[in-house]
Amino acid sequence: MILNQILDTIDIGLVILDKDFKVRYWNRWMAMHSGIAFQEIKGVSIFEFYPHLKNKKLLRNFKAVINLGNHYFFPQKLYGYLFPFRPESNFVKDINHMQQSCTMGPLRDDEKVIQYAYISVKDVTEAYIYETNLASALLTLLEKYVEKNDMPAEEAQSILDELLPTSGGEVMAKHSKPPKDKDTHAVIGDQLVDILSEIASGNR
Amino acid sequence: MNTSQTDTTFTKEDGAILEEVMNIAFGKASSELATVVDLRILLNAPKVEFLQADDLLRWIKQDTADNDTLNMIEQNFWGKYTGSAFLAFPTSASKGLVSLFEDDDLPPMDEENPLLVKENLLEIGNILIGACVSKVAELLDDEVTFSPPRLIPRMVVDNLANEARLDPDKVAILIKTVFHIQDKDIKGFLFLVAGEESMAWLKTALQNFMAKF
Repeated sequence: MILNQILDTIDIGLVILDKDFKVRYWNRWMAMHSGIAFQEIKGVSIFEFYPHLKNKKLLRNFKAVINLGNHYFFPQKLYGYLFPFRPESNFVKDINHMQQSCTMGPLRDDEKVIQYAYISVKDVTEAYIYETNLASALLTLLEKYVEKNDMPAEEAQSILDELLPTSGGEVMAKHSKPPKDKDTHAVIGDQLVDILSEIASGNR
Repeated sequence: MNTSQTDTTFTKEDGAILEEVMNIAFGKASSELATVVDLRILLNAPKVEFLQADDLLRWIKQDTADNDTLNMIEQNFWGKYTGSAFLAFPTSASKGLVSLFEDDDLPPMDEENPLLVKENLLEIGNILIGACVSKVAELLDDEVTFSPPRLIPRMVVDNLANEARLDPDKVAILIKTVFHIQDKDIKGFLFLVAGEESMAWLKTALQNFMAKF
């Protein structure tokens, strides 16, 4: 009884699926954000409500959870969200869906046999907005420095390499083929704008 | 189980039992992996060593010295059996690994999209590490939870000792296996490192395991 209270009051979404993808548990957080009551979704395949989840990646990793006891992580940076919920704040602009960081793991019965998989859903929208704003500000600043010759382009690139969620070499590889008719500063300026637009459009 | 009264010194026999447990666990992992990823992944008979952290890095380096740079996936796990897993493979093998899931419904893999490449490597690492560690834990009657995997890209083999932050005085149990993805001819190493905190439990768990036979 106390456990049920905890599961229904924590600020995190919790879904329990059986081996046939039928919903066995759907906490209040999920009901509130989805608009779907537990009684409505209980015993129904999750794919009936969220058909986009039926993809090879999720099915493969669900199998790994059920057969091997693995955990699988759905990072916001790659997925954005698993469940298309509205952002919680009424004042969030330019973001249509709550950004989520989700984890899928196994649940065992008394004989320690895996019977279910849980999915936890964490709202990371605020952190995402903060990170995006911070990255935008940094890129704008670096761009200005480079344009004014206050900072060598290489140094700006190295700061980006350090901070952006990819390795330095990868960013360089993606942006390191400057057309010969442009000077280095103009090129790094273009590169910064490209990276900035990618971040703004949520591709990073 | 009262671990405080357990002798935590590992004998040669304990090491041999652990090797056997790992062998069975990795065998199970290998066959079940085939049902998940539709690939034949061979895991060599594991070797078990008890080393200090400093020697551990030297050992890893010695095994991977043929490669200039490695991509390494690090994932921590915890239960009664607690530690870190490292999946190391030559940077040149990344392309082959990334192509393993090319049949996904997602758009074709853009080799220049570092985020997708990274995610695919992490997924492969997560599946391999999860399978091996979970099967070991299962055999020893434990349940483990995992932290999200992290990719340490292009690690220069010569710098291994400088880049890892391991307590040099700590003793670790090192389990090493070579994995081989047959269809793609990709080879790499899987290292499981458990610290002193797991030793007392592990010793008792191994005795309990043997008592079943």
